[in-house]
Amino acid sequence: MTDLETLLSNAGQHPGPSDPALVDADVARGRRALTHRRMRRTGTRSLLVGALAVGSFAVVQNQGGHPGTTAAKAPTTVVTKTTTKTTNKATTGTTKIAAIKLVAYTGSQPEGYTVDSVPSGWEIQGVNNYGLVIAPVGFGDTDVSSFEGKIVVMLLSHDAKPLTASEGDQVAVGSGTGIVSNFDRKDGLQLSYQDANGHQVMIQAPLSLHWTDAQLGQFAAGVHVSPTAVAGFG
Amino acid sequence: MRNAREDEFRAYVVDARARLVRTATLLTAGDRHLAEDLVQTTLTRLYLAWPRIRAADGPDGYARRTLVNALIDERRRPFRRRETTHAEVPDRALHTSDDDPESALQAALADLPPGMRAAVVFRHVYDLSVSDTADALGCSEGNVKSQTARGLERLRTALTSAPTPLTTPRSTR
Repeated sequence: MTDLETLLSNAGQHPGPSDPALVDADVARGRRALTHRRMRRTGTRSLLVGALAVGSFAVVQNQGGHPGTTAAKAPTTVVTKTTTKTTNKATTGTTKIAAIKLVAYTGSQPEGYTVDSVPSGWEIQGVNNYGLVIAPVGFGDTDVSSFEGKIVVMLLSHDAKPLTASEGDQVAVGSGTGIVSNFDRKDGLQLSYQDANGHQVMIQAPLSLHWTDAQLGQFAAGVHVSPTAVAGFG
Repeated sequence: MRNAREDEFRAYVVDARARLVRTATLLTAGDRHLAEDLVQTTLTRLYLAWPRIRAADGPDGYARRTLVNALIDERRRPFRRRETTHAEVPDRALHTSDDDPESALQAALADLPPGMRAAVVFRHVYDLSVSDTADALGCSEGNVKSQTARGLERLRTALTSAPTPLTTPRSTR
Protein backbone atom coordinates (compact mmCIF):
# COMPACT_ATOMS: atom_id res chain seq x y z
CA MET A 1 0.00 0.00 0.00
CA THR A 2 1.31 3.41 -0.98
CA ASP A 3 1.76 5.65 2.05
CA LEU A 4 -1.09 8.01 2.73
CA GLU A 5 0.76 11.28 2.18
CA THR A 6 1.92 10.18 -1.29
CA LEU A 7 -1.52 8.89 -2.13
CA LEU A 8 -3.15 12.20 -1.21
CA SER A 9 -0.52 14.23 -2.98
CA ASN A 10 -0.92 12.22 -6.18
CA ALA A 11 -4.69 12.54 -6.05
CA GLY A 12 -4.55 16.18 -7.10
CA GLN A 13 -2.07 15.78 -9.92
CA HIS A 14 -2.55 15.96 -13.66
CA PRO A 15 -6.19 16.91 -13.96
CA GLY A 16 -5.79 17.20 -17.74
CA PRO A 17 -6.93 19.98 -20.07
CA SER A 18 -10.38 21.52 -19.94
CA ASP A 19 -12.78 20.46 -22.66
CA PRO A 20 -13.45 23.54 -24.87
CA ALA A 21 -17.08 22.54 -25.33
CA LEU A 22 -17.57 22.44 -21.57
CA VAL A 23 -15.87 25.81 -21.23
CA ASP A 24 -18.24 27.27 -23.83
CA ALA A 25 -21.18 25.80 -21.96
CA ASP A 26 -19.95 27.27 -18.67
CA VAL A 27 -19.62 30.71 -20.20
CA ALA A 28 -23.06 30.50 -21.81
CA ARG A 29 -24.58 29.28 -18.54
CA GLY A 30 -23.04 32.16 -16.62
CA ARG A 31 -24.16 34.68 -19.20
CA ARG A 32 -27.72 33.38 -19.11
CA ALA A 33 -27.76 33.41 -15.33
CA LEU A 34 -26.54 37.00 -15.32
CA THR A 35 -29.15 38.09 -17.82
CA HIS A 36 -31.81 36.23 -15.89
CA ARG A 37 -30.79 37.85 -12.63
CA ARG A 38 -30.74 41.28 -14.14
CA MET A 39 -34.20 40.86 -15.52
CA ARG A 40 -35.62 39.41 -12.34
CA ARG A 41 -33.87 41.19 -9.59
CA THR A 42 -35.82 43.27 -7.20
CA GLY A 43 -34.75 46.21 -5.18
CA THR A 44 -32.48 47.62 -7.84
CA ARG A 45 -33.91 51.00 -7.43
CA SER A 46 -31.00 52.60 -9.19
CA LEU A 47 -32.16 51.00 -12.38
CA LEU A 48 -35.47 52.73 -12.36
CA VAL A 49 -34.71 55.83 -10.38
CA GLY A 50 -37.42 58.34 -10.88
CA ALA A 51 -39.92 55.83 -12.12
CA LEU A 52 -43.41 57.13 -12.10
CA ALA A 53 -45.98 56.12 -9.56
CA VAL A 54 -48.84 53.79 -10.27
CA GLY A 55 -51.74 55.50 -11.86
CA SER A 56 -49.77 58.34 -13.34
CA PHE A 57 -50.29 56.90 -16.73
CA ALA A 58 -53.43 56.18 -18.55
CA VAL A 59 -55.22 52.93 -18.16
CA VAL A 60 -56.25 51.08 -21.21
CA GLN A 61 -59.55 49.31 -20.94
CA ASN A 62 -60.68 49.01 -24.50
CA GLN A 63 -61.41 45.34 -24.51
CA GLY A 64 -63.23 44.00 -27.50
CA GLY A 65 -61.84 46.62 -29.81
CA HIS A 66 -63.72 49.55 -28.30
CA PRO A 67 -61.65 52.58 -27.47
CA GLY A 68 -61.41 52.83 -23.74
CA THR A 69 -61.14 55.68 -21.38
CA THR A 70 -57.67 56.91 -20.73
CA ALA A 71 -58.13 58.55 -17.39
CA ALA A 72 -56.20 57.07 -14.49
CA LYS A 73 -58.46 54.89 -12.38
CA ALA A 74 -58.33 53.74 -8.81
CA PRO A 75 -56.70 50.31 -8.72
CA THR A 76 -59.80 48.73 -7.28
CA THR A 77 -62.02 49.69 -10.19
CA VAL A 78 -60.47 47.35 -12.69
CA VAL A 79 -59.22 43.88 -11.95
CA THR A 80 -57.47 41.87 -14.57
CA LYS A 81 -58.14 38.19 -14.60
CA THR A 82 -56.77 35.48 -16.75
CA THR A 83 -59.75 33.84 -18.31
CA THR A 84 -60.10 30.17 -18.97
CA LYS A 85 -62.08 28.88 -21.87
CA THR A 86 -62.45 25.83 -23.96
CA THR A 87 -60.99 25.95 -27.39
CA ASN A 88 -63.09 25.34 -30.43
CA LYS A 89 -61.05 22.36 -31.42
CA ALA A 90 -63.69 19.75 -30.93
CA THR A 91 -61.42 17.10 -32.28
CA THR A 92 -59.02 17.43 -29.40
CA GLY A 93 -61.36 18.50 -26.66
CA THR A 94 -58.46 20.12 -24.85
CA THR A 95 -58.76 23.08 -22.53
CA LYS A 96 -56.21 25.86 -22.68
CA ILE A 97 -55.67 29.17 -21.02
CA ALA A 98 -56.36 32.06 -23.36
CA ALA A 99 -53.53 34.45 -23.96
CA ILE A 100 -54.16 38.03 -22.95
CA LYS A 101 -54.64 40.00 -26.14
CA LEU A 102 -52.81 43.11 -27.13
CA VAL A 103 -54.83 46.28 -27.41
CA ALA A 104 -53.82 49.63 -28.78
CA TYR A 105 -52.28 51.92 -26.23
CA THR A 106 -54.00 55.25 -26.25
CA GLY A 107 -52.65 56.83 -23.11
CA SER A 108 -49.80 59.25 -22.71
CA GLN A 109 -46.56 57.92 -24.09
CA PRO A 110 -43.76 57.71 -21.56
CA GLU A 111 -40.28 59.13 -22.01
CA GLY A 112 -37.53 56.76 -22.96
CA TYR A 113 -39.77 54.10 -24.45
CA THR A 114 -43.06 54.31 -26.30
CA VAL A 115 -45.46 51.48 -27.02
CA ASP A 116 -48.06 50.88 -29.68
CA SER A 117 -49.95 48.30 -27.65
CA VAL A 118 -50.24 46.78 -24.20
CA PRO A 119 -51.94 43.61 -22.97
CA SER A 120 -55.62 44.13 -22.40
CA GLY A 121 -56.16 45.25 -18.82
CA TRP A 122 -52.52 46.17 -18.29
CA GLU A 123 -51.03 49.58 -17.69
CA ILE A 124 -47.69 51.26 -17.71
CA GLN A 125 -46.57 51.08 -14.12
CA GLY A 126 -43.33 52.99 -14.36
CA VAL A 127 -40.74 54.18 -16.78
CA ASN A 128 -37.59 56.17 -17.08
CA ASN A 129 -34.63 56.22 -19.42
CA TYR A 130 -33.46 52.86 -18.07
CA GLY A 131 -36.55 50.77 -18.45
CA LEU A 132 -40.27 50.41 -18.86
CA VAL A 133 -42.49 48.35 -16.54
CA ILE A 134 -45.99 47.25 -17.53
CA ALA A 135 -48.27 45.48 -15.06
CA PRO A 136 -51.91 44.46 -14.74
CA VAL A 137 -54.17 47.24 -13.57
CA GLY A 138 -54.49 46.95 -9.81
CA PHE A 139 -51.47 44.69 -9.51
CA GLY A 140 -50.54 44.20 -5.88
CA ASP A 141 -46.83 44.79 -6.32
CA THR A 142 -46.56 48.46 -7.14
CA ASP A 143 -42.79 48.62 -6.72
CA VAL A 144 -41.50 49.50 -10.16
CA SER A 145 -38.14 48.01 -9.23
CA SER A 146 -39.78 44.63 -8.78
CA PHE A 147 -40.28 42.77 -12.02
CA GLU A 148 -42.13 39.63 -10.91
CA GLY A 149 -45.34 39.16 -12.86
CA LYS A 150 -44.72 42.21 -15.02
CA ILE A 151 -43.49 43.05 -18.49
CA VAL A 152 -40.10 44.71 -18.40
CA VAL A 153 -38.47 46.45 -21.37
CA MET A 154 -34.90 47.65 -21.14
CA LEU A 155 -31.76 48.03 -23.14
CA LEU A 156 -29.22 45.27 -22.76
CA SER A 157 -26.72 46.07 -20.05
CA HIS A 158 -23.39 47.40 -21.30
CA ASP A 159 -21.50 44.36 -20.02
CA ALA A 160 -23.94 41.73 -21.23
CA LYS A 161 -24.24 40.01 -24.57
CA PRO A 162 -27.37 39.50 -26.64
CA LEU A 163 -28.79 36.02 -26.79
CA THR A 164 -27.48 33.90 -29.60
CA ALA A 165 -29.41 31.57 -31.86
CA SER A 166 -28.17 28.56 -29.91
CA GLU A 167 -29.64 29.93 -26.69
CA GLY A 168 -33.25 30.18 -27.76
CA ASP A 169 -35.83 30.20 -30.49
CA GLN A 170 -36.00 32.73 -33.26
CA VAL A 171 -39.09 34.92 -33.48
CA ALA A 172 -40.21 37.72 -35.76
CA VAL A 173 -40.07 41.23 -34.32
CA GLY A 174 -41.51 43.55 -36.91
CA SER A 175 -39.35 43.26 -39.99
CA GLY A 176 -36.47 41.85 -37.95
CA THR A 177 -35.95 38.86 -35.73
CA GLY A 178 -35.24 38.22 -32.08
CA ILE A 179 -34.36 35.31 -29.84
CA VAL A 180 -36.60 34.03 -27.07
CA SER A 181 -34.37 32.43 -24.47
CA ASN A 182 -34.79 28.79 -23.64
CA PHE A 183 -33.36 29.44 -20.18
CA ASP A 184 -35.96 29.10 -17.45
CA ARG A 185 -38.97 29.23 -19.69
CA LYS A 186 -40.91 27.95 -16.74
CA ASP A 187 -40.52 31.39 -15.17
CA GLY A 188 -41.43 33.48 -18.18
CA LEU A 189 -40.37 34.57 -21.64
CA GLN A 190 -37.27 36.60 -22.30
CA LEU A 191 -36.75 38.18 -25.70
CA SER A 192 -33.54 39.70 -27.01
CA TYR A 193 -33.45 41.62 -30.27
CA GLN A 194 -31.92 44.53 -32.08
CA ASP A 195 -34.36 47.20 -33.16
CA ALA A 196 -34.28 49.15 -36.39
CA ASN A 197 -32.10 51.83 -34.82
CA GLY A 198 -29.52 49.36 -33.57
CA HIS A 199 -30.61 49.25 -29.93
CA GLN A 200 -30.14 45.91 -28.18
CA VAL A 201 -33.44 45.43 -26.38
CA MET A 202 -34.43 42.90 -23.75
CA ILE A 203 -38.07 42.20 -22.90
CA GLN A 204 -39.27 39.92 -20.16
CA ALA A 205 -42.88 38.75 -20.12
CA PRO A 206 -44.48 36.73 -17.31
CA LEU A 207 -46.24 33.42 -17.80
CA SER A 208 -49.50 34.96 -16.63
CA LEU A 209 -49.89 36.47 -20.12
CA HIS A 210 -49.91 32.98 -21.65
CA TRP A 211 -48.17 34.41 -24.66
CA THR A 212 -46.49 32.47 -27.36
CA ASP A 213 -43.10 33.57 -28.63
CA ALA A 214 -44.84 35.10 -31.64
CA GLN A 215 -47.15 37.16 -29.44
CA LEU A 216 -44.18 38.46 -27.48
CA GLY A 217 -42.54 39.35 -30.79
CA GLN A 218 -45.72 41.13 -31.84
CA PHE A 219 -45.64 43.20 -28.65
CA ALA A 220 -41.95 43.93 -29.14
CA ALA A 221 -42.62 45.20 -32.64
CA GLY A 222 -44.67 47.97 -31.07
CA VAL A 223 -41.98 49.04 -28.64
CA HIS A 224 -39.95 52.07 -29.68
CA VAL A 225 -36.79 53.08 -27.94
CA SER A 226 -36.30 56.82 -27.67
CA PRO A 227 -32.91 58.43 -28.08
CA THR A 228 -32.95 59.28 -24.39
CA ALA A 229 -33.05 55.63 -23.33
CA VAL A 230 -29.79 54.37 -21.89
CA ALA A 231 -28.47 50.93 -21.00
CA GLY A 232 -27.62 50.15 -17.41
CA PHE A 233 -24.53 48.60 -15.92
CA GLY A 234 -24.26 45.53 -13.78
CA MET B 1 -19.39 41.89 -29.04
CA ARG B 2 -17.29 40.46 -26.27
CA ASN B 3 -16.81 42.07 -22.93
CA ALA B 4 -14.12 42.01 -20.29
CA ARG B 5 -16.09 39.91 -17.83
CA GLU B 6 -16.66 37.16 -20.33
CA ASP B 7 -13.13 37.11 -21.70
CA GLU B 8 -11.55 36.98 -18.26
CA PHE B 9 -13.99 34.39 -17.03
CA ARG B 10 -13.38 32.19 -20.06
CA ALA B 11 -9.64 32.37 -19.54
CA TYR B 12 -10.08 31.37 -15.93
CA VAL B 13 -12.36 28.44 -16.79
CA VAL B 14 -9.93 27.17 -19.42
CA ASP B 15 -7.21 27.17 -16.80
CA ALA B 16 -9.15 25.98 -13.78
CA ARG B 17 -12.05 23.82 -14.88
CA ALA B 18 -10.31 20.45 -14.91
CA ARG B 19 -8.73 21.25 -11.56
CA LEU B 20 -12.10 22.15 -10.10
CA VAL B 21 -13.65 18.93 -11.38
CA ARG B 22 -10.78 17.01 -9.85
CA THR B 23 -11.26 18.76 -6.54
CA ALA B 24 -15.01 18.23 -6.64
CA THR B 25 -14.52 14.56 -7.44
CA LEU B 26 -12.40 14.19 -4.33
CA LEU B 27 -14.85 16.19 -2.23
CA THR B 28 -17.65 13.92 -3.40
CA ALA B 29 -15.51 10.83 -2.89
CA GLY B 30 -15.55 9.82 -6.54
CA ASP B 31 -19.07 10.80 -7.62
CA ARG B 32 -18.12 12.30 -10.98
CA HIS B 33 -21.66 13.25 -11.96
CA LEU B 34 -22.26 15.13 -8.74
CA ALA B 35 -18.80 16.67 -9.08
CA GLU B 36 -19.67 18.00 -12.53
CA ASP B 37 -22.93 19.43 -11.20
CA LEU B 38 -21.09 21.15 -8.37
CA VAL B 39 -18.52 22.63 -10.72
CA GLN B 40 -21.23 23.97 -13.03
CA THR B 41 -22.99 25.54 -10.07
CA THR B 42 -19.72 26.98 -8.83
CA LEU B 43 -18.75 28.46 -12.17
CA THR B 44 -22.17 30.03 -12.68
CA ARG B 45 -21.94 31.70 -9.28
CA LEU B 46 -18.41 32.72 -10.12
CA TYR B 47 -19.56 34.40 -13.32
CA LEU B 48 -22.26 36.32 -11.49
CA ALA B 49 -19.80 37.53 -8.87
CA TRP B 50 -16.88 38.05 -11.24
CA PRO B 51 -16.41 41.83 -10.91
CA ARG B 52 -16.46 41.55 -7.11
CA ILE B 53 -14.15 38.58 -6.73
CA ARG B 54 -11.75 39.89 -9.34
CA ALA B 55 -11.34 42.99 -7.23
CA ALA B 56 -11.01 40.98 -4.02
CA ASP B 57 -8.85 37.93 -3.40
CA GLY B 58 -9.14 36.36 -6.83
CA PRO B 59 -11.29 33.55 -8.15
CA ASP B 60 -9.54 30.52 -6.65
CA GLY B 61 -10.51 31.20 -3.06
CA TYR B 62 -14.04 32.08 -4.06
CA ALA B 63 -14.29 28.94 -6.19
CA ARG B 64 -13.19 26.73 -3.29
CA ARG B 65 -15.68 28.31 -0.90
CA THR B 66 -18.47 28.06 -3.43
CA LEU B 67 -17.63 24.44 -4.22
CA VAL B 68 -17.86 23.50 -0.56
CA ASN B 69 -21.09 25.45 -0.11
CA ALA B 70 -22.58 23.81 -3.19
CA LEU B 71 -21.65 20.41 -1.78
CA ILE B 72 -23.24 21.26 1.57
CA ASP B 73 -26.36 22.52 -0.18
CA GLU B 74 -26.51 19.31 -2.15
CA ARG B 75 -26.20 17.21 0.99
CA ARG B 76 -29.00 19.17 2.63
CA ARG B 77 -31.47 18.46 -0.12
CA PRO B 78 -34.35 16.40 1.26
CA PHE B 79 -33.84 13.36 -0.90
CA ARG B 80 -30.31 13.13 0.39
CA ARG B 81 -31.68 12.22 3.77
CA ARG B 82 -33.51 9.28 2.34
CA GLU B 83 -31.11 7.93 -0.19
CA THR B 84 -27.85 8.60 -1.89
CA THR B 85 -27.00 8.22 -5.53
CA HIS B 86 -23.77 6.99 -7.00
CA ALA B 87 -22.29 7.68 -10.39
CA GLU B 88 -21.53 4.06 -11.04
CA VAL B 89 -22.76 0.82 -9.62
CA PRO B 90 -19.92 -0.77 -7.65
CA ASP B 91 -19.11 -4.14 -9.07
CA ARG B 92 -16.72 -5.21 -6.39
CA ALA B 93 -16.06 -4.77 -2.73
CA LEU B 94 -14.77 -1.33 -1.92
CA HIS B 95 -11.86 -2.34 0.29
CA THR B 96 -10.21 -4.93 -1.87
CA SER B 97 -8.26 -2.68 -4.18
CA ASP B 98 -4.66 -2.82 -3.05
CA ASP B 99 -3.76 -2.69 -6.73
CA ASP B 100 -5.80 0.49 -7.27
CA PRO B 101 -4.72 3.00 -4.64
CA GLU B 102 -6.90 5.78 -6.00
CA SER B 103 -10.07 3.75 -5.73
CA ALA B 104 -9.09 2.72 -2.25
CA LEU B 105 -8.49 6.34 -1.33
CA GLN B 106 -11.86 7.43 -2.72
CA ALA B 107 -13.58 4.64 -0.85
CA ALA B 108 -11.85 5.71 2.34
CA LEU B 109 -12.70 9.36 1.71
CA ALA B 110 -16.33 8.38 1.20
CA ASP B 111 -16.47 7.19 4.79
CA LEU B 112 -15.48 10.60 6.12
CA PRO B 113 -18.05 13.30 6.88
CA PRO B 114 -18.05 15.92 4.09
CA GLY B 115 -16.44 18.64 6.20
CA MET B 116 -13.68 16.38 7.41
CA ARG B 117 -13.13 15.11 3.89
CA ALA B 118 -12.86 18.66 2.55
CA ALA B 119 -10.35 19.57 5.25
CA VAL B 120 -8.13 16.62 4.31
CA VAL B 121 -8.45 17.30 0.59
CA PHE B 122 -7.60 20.99 0.81
CA ARG B 123 -4.78 20.53 3.31
CA HIS B 124 -3.11 17.41 1.98
CA VAL B 125 -4.11 17.13 -1.67
CA TYR B 126 -3.83 20.80 -2.57
CA ASP B 127 -1.42 21.88 0.16
CA LEU B 128 -3.54 24.81 1.22
CA SER B 129 -2.55 26.50 4.44
CA VAL B 130 -4.64 26.03 7.54
CA SER B 131 -5.80 29.60 7.12
CA ASP B 132 -6.89 29.15 3.50
CA THR B 133 -8.61 25.87 4.32
CA ALA B 134 -10.48 27.51 7.19
CA ASP B 135 -11.54 30.24 4.79
CA ALA B 136 -12.77 27.70 2.24
CA LEU B 137 -14.70 25.75 4.85
CA GLY B 138 -15.97 28.75 6.75
CA CYS B 139 -14.69 27.47 10.07
CA SER B 140 -11.92 28.21 12.56
CA GLU B 141 -8.31 27.22 12.04
CA GLY B 142 -8.50 25.08 15.16
CA ASN B 143 -11.39 23.19 13.66
CA VAL B 144 -9.41 22.61 10.47
CA LYS B 145 -6.51 21.18 12.44
CA SER B 146 -8.68 18.83 14.46
CA GLN B 147 -10.74 17.74 11.46
CA THR B 148 -7.62 17.11 9.42
CA ALA B 149 -5.92 15.13 12.16
CA ARG B 150 -8.97 12.97 12.75
CA GLY B 151 -9.53 12.55 9.03
CA LEU B 152 -5.98 11.40 8.39
CA GLU B 153 -6.21 8.95 11.25
CA ARG B 154 -9.41 7.48 9.87
CA LEU B 155 -7.91 7.25 6.38
CA ARG B 156 -4.84 5.44 7.69
CA THR B 157 -7.01 3.02 9.55
CA ALA B 158 -9.22 2.40 6.52
CA LEU B 159 -6.36 1.99 4.08
CA THR B 160 -4.28 -0.32 6.22
CA SER B 161 -7.11 -2.50 7.51
CA ALA B 162 -7.78 -5.89 6.08
CA PRO B 163 -10.23 -6.10 3.16
CA THR B 164 -13.81 -6.27 4.31
CA PRO B 165 -15.58 -9.39 3.12
CA LEU B 166 -18.86 -8.92 1.38
CA THR B 167 -20.60 -11.28 3.78
CA THR B 168 -19.81 -12.21 7.32
CA PRO B 169 -19.11 -15.93 7.66
CA ARG B 170 -21.41 -17.77 9.99
CA SER B 171 -19.79 -18.88 13.18
CA THR B 172 -19.49 -22.58 13.63
CA ARG B 173 -19.89 -24.19 16.95
